[in-house]
Amino acid sequence: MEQDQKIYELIDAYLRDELKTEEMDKFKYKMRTEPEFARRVELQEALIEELKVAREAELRQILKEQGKVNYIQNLWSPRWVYASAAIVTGFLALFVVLKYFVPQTEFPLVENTKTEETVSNEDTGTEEDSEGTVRRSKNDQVSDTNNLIAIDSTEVEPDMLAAESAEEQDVEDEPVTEAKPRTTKKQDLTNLRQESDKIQVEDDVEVKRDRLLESRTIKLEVLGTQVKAAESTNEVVVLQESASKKTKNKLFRKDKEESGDEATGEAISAPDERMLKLELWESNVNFKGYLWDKETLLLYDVNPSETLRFKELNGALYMKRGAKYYQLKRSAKFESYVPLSDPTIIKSLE
Amino acid sequence: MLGIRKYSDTQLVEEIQKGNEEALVSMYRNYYTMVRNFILKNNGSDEEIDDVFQDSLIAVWQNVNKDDFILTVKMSTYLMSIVKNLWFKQLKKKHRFTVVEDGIQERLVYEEPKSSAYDAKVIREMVAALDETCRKLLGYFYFDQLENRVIAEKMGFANTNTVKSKKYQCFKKLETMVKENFERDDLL
Repeated sequence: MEQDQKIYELIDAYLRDELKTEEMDKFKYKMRTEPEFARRVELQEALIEELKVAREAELRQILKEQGKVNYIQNLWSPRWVYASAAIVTGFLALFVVLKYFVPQTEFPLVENTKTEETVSNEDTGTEEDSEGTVRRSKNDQVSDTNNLIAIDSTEVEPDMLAAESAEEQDVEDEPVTEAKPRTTKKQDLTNLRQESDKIQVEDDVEVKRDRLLESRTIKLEVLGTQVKAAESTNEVVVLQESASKKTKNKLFRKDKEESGDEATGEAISAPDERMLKLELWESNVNFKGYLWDKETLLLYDVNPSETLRFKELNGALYMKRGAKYYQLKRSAKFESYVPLSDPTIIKSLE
Repeated sequence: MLGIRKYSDTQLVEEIQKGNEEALVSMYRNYYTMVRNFILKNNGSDEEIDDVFQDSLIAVWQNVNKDDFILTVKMSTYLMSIVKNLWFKQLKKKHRFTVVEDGIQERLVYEEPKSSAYDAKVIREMVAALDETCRKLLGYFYFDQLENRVIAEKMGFANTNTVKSKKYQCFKKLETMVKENFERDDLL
């Protein structure tokens, strides 16, 4: 048995070409001299060859059965069905997430009160080069345009922008001191603003602009040192301390055409017929403040039913709202309401 | 089909050296498109892809199990070099078949193994009739050229001596079966 196994292993080594030269010579000599041994070698070689063929066939069968690739031949194979199902499920999931879980994009025009301050500051930057001569009409545009937060200006209707730009250009070309009536232009601007209250920038994005709540023109009566002007619930009081300060009262200039006072040409020549135009605006960015650079004083965050009192002391205009006084400064910028803290001035105003 | 894992090149070599057929199946699936494109671009047909690809994979299988095998390039590159060699050889044969006489074709089709003294058909039948353990053991040793240690691990034998002993027993069993089925005249 052991001897036979050794012969088997010797033949095996020969067939695997593992014999050394000396062993190989002996082996070949034995094959030549012993026919039975030669036949055994021949049989073992044949069996090994057939075992190899069988194993190779087995591997081929494995590859054929398990490795078969249906190259887009059977679209209903599990592979394609699973892949298609995965893709469809993925799209559905994406749709559901976008539809129900991602909030609709709305520009934070109302909630963020700080945004409004930023707008005012940006506004300041854009208007600095106007050297304080920026006019009401321009500021209207500034206000409107700047309230379009986070929207590229190119998104706004180009026709409207062109119209506004042309209007702005016209206004800037005019000298500051001339008080020509611009009612037509203002009306145009107002119409333009109202028409474009809602700008449809894109199909699903709606941008709102500031809304004009009420517009009033208040006639001022100068009664010595105290002028009362009553119109509806608003009361305007002008305290004129001295005649020398009358020159500062340009803000109460009456329109030349309306007054017909062409003789003097002085804005302060008829203090008893001065006009103050008020406009109450609702800001979309919740801006709390005012803009007063020309004739019209724009007040934001003021309810039309509120009682307001306006007083002038030493050329400065003060607004009494509730129990507090606020000094209103002429400026091309949007200003916030700053409560008056100087007790001396408050006492004088009282 | 979806259960076959993907192997890195190093893992492929390791798994083939362990005699894991799943590694071969993985290669077949991963590189099928690459091989298919090559064959089709080089005057091949869909029917020829499987044969060439299987031949190539079996060559890889045997080469990786040789003692001195070291993979120095990517497995895909190595496989494609074998595919190209086999395919160009096949193309040469196809070209030769078209210009020579029909009689020569027959000579090139298939050659029986050297063991002309024994009936190959009987041997094939006896190998097929051998029990699965013996057939696998002998196949791993002679065709896959797996080491006795690996065979022991793969088939759950105690050690390499057991493998040697079992291998001898299986071979003698096959030899006996063949001898019994041969005509006495053929054997002697």
